[in-house]
Amino acid sequence: MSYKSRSIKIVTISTLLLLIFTLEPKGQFFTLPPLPPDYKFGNILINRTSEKNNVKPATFSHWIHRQKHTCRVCHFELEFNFQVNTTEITEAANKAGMYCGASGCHDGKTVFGHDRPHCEKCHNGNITYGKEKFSELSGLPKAKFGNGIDWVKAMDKDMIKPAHYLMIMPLPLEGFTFNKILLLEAEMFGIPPAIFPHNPHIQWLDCNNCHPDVFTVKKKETQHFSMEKILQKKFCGVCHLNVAFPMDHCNRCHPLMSDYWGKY
Amino acid sequence: MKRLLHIMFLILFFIGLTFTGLTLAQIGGGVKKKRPLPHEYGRVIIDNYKELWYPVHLKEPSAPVVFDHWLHRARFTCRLCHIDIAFAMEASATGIRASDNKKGYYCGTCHNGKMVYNDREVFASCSKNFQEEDVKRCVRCHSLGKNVKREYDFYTFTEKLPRGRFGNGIDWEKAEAEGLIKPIDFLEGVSIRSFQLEAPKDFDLEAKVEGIPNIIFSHKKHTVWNGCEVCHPEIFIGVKKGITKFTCVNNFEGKYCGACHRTVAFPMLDCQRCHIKAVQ
Amino acid sequence: MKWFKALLIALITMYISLWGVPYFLEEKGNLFFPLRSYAENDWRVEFNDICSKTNTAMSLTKEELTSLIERCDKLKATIETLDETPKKVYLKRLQMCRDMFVFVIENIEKKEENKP
Repeated sequence: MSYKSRSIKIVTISTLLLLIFTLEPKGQFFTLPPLPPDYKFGNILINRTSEKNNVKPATFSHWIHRQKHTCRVCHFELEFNFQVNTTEITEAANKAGMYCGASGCHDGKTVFGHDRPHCEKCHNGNITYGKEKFSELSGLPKAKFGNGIDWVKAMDKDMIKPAHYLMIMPLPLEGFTFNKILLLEAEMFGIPPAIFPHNPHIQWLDCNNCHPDVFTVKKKETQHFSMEKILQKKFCGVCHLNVAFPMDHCNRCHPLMSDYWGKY
Repeated sequence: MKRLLHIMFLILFFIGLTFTGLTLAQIGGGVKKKRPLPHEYGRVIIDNYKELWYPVHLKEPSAPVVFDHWLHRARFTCRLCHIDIAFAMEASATGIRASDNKKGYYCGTCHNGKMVYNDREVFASCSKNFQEEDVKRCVRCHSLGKNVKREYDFYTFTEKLPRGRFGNGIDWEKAEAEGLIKPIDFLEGVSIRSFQLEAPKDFDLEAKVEGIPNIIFSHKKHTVWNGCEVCHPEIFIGVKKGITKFTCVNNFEGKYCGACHRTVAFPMLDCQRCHIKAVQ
Repeated sequence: MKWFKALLIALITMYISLWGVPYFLEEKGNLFFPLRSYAENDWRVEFNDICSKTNTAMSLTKEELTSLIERCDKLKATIETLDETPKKVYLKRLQMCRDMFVFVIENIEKKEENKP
């Protein structure tokens, strides 16, 4: 066989291999991150500089805070990032009224502030701190995974009334009627499409939380996001892995699917 | 010979494959970008010609210039630098050279060691007779990657200014209205005496997405620090009222409003700051 | 008086050799050599006159604007003979003024179209 024909063969085979590797559905082999118990879901330990300064990491529970404030308040107004330990929270900044210490939050008037004896209420290094309070939430609508609570329904039914803003009013509601429902075709063959309703997201978030960083507002530009990317904490995975309802609940987005599908 | 060629071709092919693999992996962002801290907002890195010119005494190319808008905008109007001194609206697009500064243009218009501001001499930019002790002055601007203590600390400087949303965290408009800052708009020998600009009326910009409130655009607010030429026609190129359509996407890419309201003027984070008019 | 003339000539030569040469090298003026020559100052006056009209461009007529644009084009030729840096700076400034006038003319034309 001549070198020419052999190299053509190699090129064709490797191209085919590449195609197979990129197109092969990996869906059946998803491994969703293991779910913690409901009282631990959405809890984090903030340890950017704590231990370096001989202080115990600060514990933070999303389910405690989201009863009183929407995501927007902290992640938009107070400029908390979406990734733990990336926000430059310092004691000085908090005391100056930024981040946790914002007026209306842990300012020492509304709730406990940043002086003794309150330090250990956060700096205790215990990720399940305050779990006894979780039983108080038993009356809220149930959901299958995560905290086991359907937070959206709870807000709709006025069972919780989280504040939507501290200082910066969201878009005036009378002028804001935007509620686009998107149909997202699945990349994998045989998987029913996902439905994305803007409305429940608008109730909790600000436009800027998702646009234009996480999802560009360009039409069809976000069609490239796949479950694989989402599982890498991108796109929907920014929230729907660790804080908002987890992806084990397949049919909450893909209405025609059954749950647990990805796991087995 | 033929065999060699084939091998070469194969190698190139595989290199090509790895690159396409890489680009495939990079499609889409999907993650939240970190917001700049208040003192970092409006920072511009100017990095031209570093290979071409550097002072012999530094023994290494001078570092790129770190320019923070906040100090300059507290003292001068946008117009002064972006029209009268002819700085481009995009970082590094002016192509400033040390020799330009020496001759008294661009940075050297003010940073000439002679101009007096607040009873203090404005330090000279790139000097022609470079001495060893001048290095300290060089790194005041050529400071990227160098741990240089700035003469003005952002937080002490802005302590008394009214708070604003995002960006620098300062309401610059209010700061001027209250007389806390008095930006200079005229430089003798550089600026042109002109008639007071009469701002055209405010108007509505219709939102392109259904259910989103319209924008009220105020010419008046924009002409406080700008002349017409800053925006027309360079930035709003070909924009004629009611004809050209541009959307948020263009703005987020740094065009139109995004030319200023993405990196220097208040950022486009809180939609309602502009989208204020209820849909009829 | 001959020695006086000689002294004067010597002084002038000294002056030129002391200040004149650096002046030409650095394009800097001093007491006896005011910033740039008269011809150059003329273009500055013209430039200032043209570009001072951008703020009021909206109240000008189409004819006035056209004549301003013509003046811009004429001045451009002069500016192009300047040194590298002032050429770059003033070409950009002139271009901004010119573009502004063109922009206003286009707006006027558009309005005329809308009102036939």
